[in-house]
Amino acid sequence: MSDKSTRRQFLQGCARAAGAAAVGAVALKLVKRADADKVWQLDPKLCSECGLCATRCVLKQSAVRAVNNFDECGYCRICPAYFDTTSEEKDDGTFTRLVCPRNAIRRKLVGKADPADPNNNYYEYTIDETRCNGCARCVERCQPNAGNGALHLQVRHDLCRDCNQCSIAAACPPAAFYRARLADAPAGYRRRGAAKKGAKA
Amino acid sequence: MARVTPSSTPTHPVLSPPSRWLLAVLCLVLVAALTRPVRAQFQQPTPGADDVGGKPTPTYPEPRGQVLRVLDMVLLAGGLGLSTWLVLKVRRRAWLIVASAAAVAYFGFYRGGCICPVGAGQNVALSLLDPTYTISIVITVFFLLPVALALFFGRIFCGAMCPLGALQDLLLIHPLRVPRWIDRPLRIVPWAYLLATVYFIAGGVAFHFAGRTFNGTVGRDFLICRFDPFVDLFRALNLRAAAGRWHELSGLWSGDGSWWHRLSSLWSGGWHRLSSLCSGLFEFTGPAWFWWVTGGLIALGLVIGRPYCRWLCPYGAILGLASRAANRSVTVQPRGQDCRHCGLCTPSCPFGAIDDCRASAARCLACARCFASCPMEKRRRRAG
Ligand code: SF4
Ligand code: SF4
Ligand code: SF4
Ligand code: SF4
Ligand code: SF4
Repeated sequence: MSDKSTRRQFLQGCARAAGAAAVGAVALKLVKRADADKVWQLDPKLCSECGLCATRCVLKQSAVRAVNNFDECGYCRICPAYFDTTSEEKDDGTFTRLVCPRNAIRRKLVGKADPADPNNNYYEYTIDETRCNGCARCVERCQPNAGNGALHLQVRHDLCRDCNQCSIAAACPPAAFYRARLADAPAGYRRRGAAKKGAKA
Repeated sequence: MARVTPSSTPTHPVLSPPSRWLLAVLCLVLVAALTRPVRAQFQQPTPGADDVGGKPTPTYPEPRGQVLRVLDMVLLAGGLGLSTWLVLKVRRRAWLIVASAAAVAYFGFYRGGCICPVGAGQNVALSLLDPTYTISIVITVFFLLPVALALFFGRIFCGAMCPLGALQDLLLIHPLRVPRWIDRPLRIVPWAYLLATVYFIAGGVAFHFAGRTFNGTVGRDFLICRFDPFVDLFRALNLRAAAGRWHELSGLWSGDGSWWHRLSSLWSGGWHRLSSLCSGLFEFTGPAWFWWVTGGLIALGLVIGRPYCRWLCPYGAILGLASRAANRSVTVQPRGQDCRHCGLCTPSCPFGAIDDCRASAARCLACARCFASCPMEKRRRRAG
């Protein structure tokens, strides 16, 4: 073997050792401070209902949906998140226009109906997830003091493609969209006021 | 109420400060009292579960489990080991095509192109620079494993396991030769891209494209992800969404009646529902203009070998650098045999990676195409 080729091999060996050392150093440093894998989560307590969730997600119909937390919902007859209360009022006290631009909220009379005063009746509001695209308009109208703050946005993990860099997170003004630990994700960031009331599962 | 006469000046306050406060409070109370009925109309205490006949529980679909993420890592490691064996020992492209298709199917379409080793470098760089940005071991391994392998065996990862590379390679139908004067300057681009990527991660540059609002937590941009030309394609096939709509398809064959009845109803209602199912299955993602980039690169890739890998991929630049140190990288002739310098192999490489009958470790994408052109290899195969 020629001198040139042994010299080349020697240099290659040195480079290999240096490269392996670099890889090892990076591995050591990152593995030491490694965290459990994280998923993109929306913190409803921080969300300012800006509407970017609907438009920034890489999916045509965003992976974010409005969710009704029935434990906080007032079951109101005139839900300000369902009826557009700035529109013309009908004779029965409801309104001509609805808030949701995609007609994704279902309204159903539940419980015992009071024939004397319809305002005493309870209505259940559920989100049709095939229609909702997380535009946050209903969430905005449900804010206290108009509503109870039961409606909130959340990323649906069965739809989310778990992008390396979530494009909603990159745009979210109050930074309500961030990576949370997998273990915390399902329980910790569900609803408004969850921290206050304690995890009730 | 005291009236302010035109002659009064600010130096003679009509009301003394305490009474002004009182007035303000009074006004507030008045406003609150007036608005209360309006508010009360909307805001109600939540009824008991009995009042409403039981409350539904809001559902929160669980994310993909940690176990499956570790499975990704295991599959990558296994796939890399397999590719190494196929390229360096078996030396036949046929099986590598199978491996490529598997990588495109799993890491590409099934996993939606995230996370891939190409993009994982951004997370690693960010985590090195910002200790608060912690990443899982899976991401670290995804980035480091192909690099570590390249230090010894060259760019094996590029051969089949990279979903981006494998997709381009599977679509390469008729490779044309790219003149050197075009190829050489373009090879600088990946390094520029790599530098820009690190800059956008490290710099905390408050710059977002297309009028994006700048977000305080993300003074950074993942360039590789943003301009990944194939990830939109991978994400387009939304298997999970399709699985959710499976009942629609199964509904097509339901119903009673004779076979003929079923068949005719399938014919009449089927197409509509099938097309709606397909439109749910293929959900094109990303901005519209980007489809021109994706489509353009794929169209170009039909006749030019892996344009993204050769002239854009920043991870390829890292792997190429690491490969320069490799001692067991691809050799066109069977290992241990001397090259006869017949020159038959040079045009067989669709990526122009063979200089003077030697595969350049930095540019060889370990595709195993050139082996078949080597007379020495033919002899080996006949003997083996
Ligand atoms: S982008 Fe952020 S603030 Fe805007 S709706 Fe989504 S989570 Fe809320
Ligand atoms: S978030 Fe938007 S689309 Fe979804 S239910 Fe509310 S208003 Fe409708
Ligand atoms: S990670 Fe991707 S798919 Fe999920 S919410 Fe963000 S942009 Fe949408
Ligand atoms: S050059 Fe980049 S995109 Fe091409 S196969 Fe290698 S890592 Fe993948
Ligand atoms: S030299 Fe070219 S043809 Fe041979 S394995 Fe490498 S990339 Fe493929």
